Amino acid sequence: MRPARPSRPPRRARGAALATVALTAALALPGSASAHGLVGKQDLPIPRWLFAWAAAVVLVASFVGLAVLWATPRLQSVVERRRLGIARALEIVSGVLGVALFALVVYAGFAGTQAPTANILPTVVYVFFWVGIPLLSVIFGDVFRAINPWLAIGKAAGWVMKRTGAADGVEPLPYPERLGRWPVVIGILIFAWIELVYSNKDDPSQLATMALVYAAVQLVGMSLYGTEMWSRRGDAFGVYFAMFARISPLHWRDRALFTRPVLGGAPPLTPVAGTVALLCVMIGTTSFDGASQGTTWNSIVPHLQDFFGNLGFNAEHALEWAGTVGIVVMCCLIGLLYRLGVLGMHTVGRRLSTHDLSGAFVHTLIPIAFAYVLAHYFSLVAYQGQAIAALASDPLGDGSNLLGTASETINYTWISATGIWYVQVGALVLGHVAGLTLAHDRALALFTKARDATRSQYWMLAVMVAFTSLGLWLLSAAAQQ
Amino acid sequence: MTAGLILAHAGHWLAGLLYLAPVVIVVGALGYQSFKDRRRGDDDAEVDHTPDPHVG
Repeated sequence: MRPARPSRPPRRARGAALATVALTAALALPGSASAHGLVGKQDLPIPRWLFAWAAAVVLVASFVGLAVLWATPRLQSVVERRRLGIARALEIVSGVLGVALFALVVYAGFAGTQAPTANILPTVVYVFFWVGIPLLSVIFGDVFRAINPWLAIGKAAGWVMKRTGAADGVEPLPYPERLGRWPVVIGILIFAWIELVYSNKDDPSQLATMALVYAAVQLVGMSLYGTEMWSRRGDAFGVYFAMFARISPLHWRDRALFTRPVLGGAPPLTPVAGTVALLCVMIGTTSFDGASQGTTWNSIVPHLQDFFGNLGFNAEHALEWAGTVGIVVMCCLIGLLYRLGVLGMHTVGRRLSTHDLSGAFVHTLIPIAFAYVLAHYFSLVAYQGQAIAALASDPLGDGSNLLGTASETINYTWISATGIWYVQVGALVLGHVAGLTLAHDRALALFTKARDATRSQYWMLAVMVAFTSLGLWLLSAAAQQ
Repeated sequence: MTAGLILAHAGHWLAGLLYLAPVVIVVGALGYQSFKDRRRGDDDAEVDHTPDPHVG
């Protein structure tokens, strides 16, 4: 990939850009407002909508800063430094640990109390698995791959078959190119539907059954297409977590730990079939989670429920259908916004098709997807995450106290509602600035002139501002409920 | 049903407009800038090539 010709920015322009960045950053920072925080109620010095305006100013200033100060591609091909090797024994131990944890929580789901808050399974699935692992992945890299239970079983089975000669002459099927990451899109959509729409989402025994079904599907996929290929294309959760790990400064590969610049793992993402859909689903489902707690959605739901009720569904199923419509509409809206940003790039040339551009810039959505996850679920992890102390001591909810922490309670005062709001706003702004940076860097690599690269990103900037405003509107609506 | 639904919840939609305003302003400014760029007649940029088929 030939980089765009570097050009030194004029001093006056650079100075103006720096001043703009500094001014807008000062405007966006909360200042002394954090001292006003009250537990359980947000005490903000300015109206919430003003944060959306400030965020838009930060994004525009970042865009100007990038245009002036970032003249050559820096993230398209980063150097990774090997920091330490990992013994094979450690790999085996972590795999065994993953299988043991999976077996324990599934057993708890079947054998424990069916009260969702007293059984460890719902908390592990919705707090630690769905939200905690993405947070860990961004900090420590793809840690889930080390403890992925179905991958560990698949690898162990492959090793046994190789040793016994059972696999002699048997080659995995070639993975269909058209399938791409579509199994992941379907898997994440189904899980999000269960979490956000399904009325029995907290039922421990149903969750345990679904976990076993998912593991079985993964083993079938690995047996058909090979452990490695399926785990990188078809394992919904494995691919989902690995996507977040791409923006981490740590990279685990070839039994070693490497370091790289933050965001450096995102540009090499191969935009195989389904990748754009996957990122849109990742953002869309989280957006729907926020929307479903707001007044706008809750004012529409009764009408949708009536509509589906008139079609013959009972109240519960009509509500689920309304939620299904909401998830699909939100994912389509995110896809449409991204498409608009991509279409705007044609203003500086039409050599690349919309499809090619769509794939070339899809990695810019990864930090945005993470920002949405962090913003929408931070309070869940901050508060509900503490429940693990009691649940680990009494995983079945039968009154046992294995670790002596069964009576631990949740401390709701360690961070105020105001503090959570600032974390949410900060996550959204930083995530979108990171997205802009990745888009600018890719544009520099694709377009001959740096100026054209900047012009090509006008509409992507508009999309980023739209995503940020949407995110803040959803969070604000949820906070007012 | 749709028109009634929109009118009945106008308060919610109108409050949301405050969040939409920055988007409209940015889109307007960028549209104007694009128009100016095009009038300058320098939209002859060429795309070099497709992205690398990266590993991953």
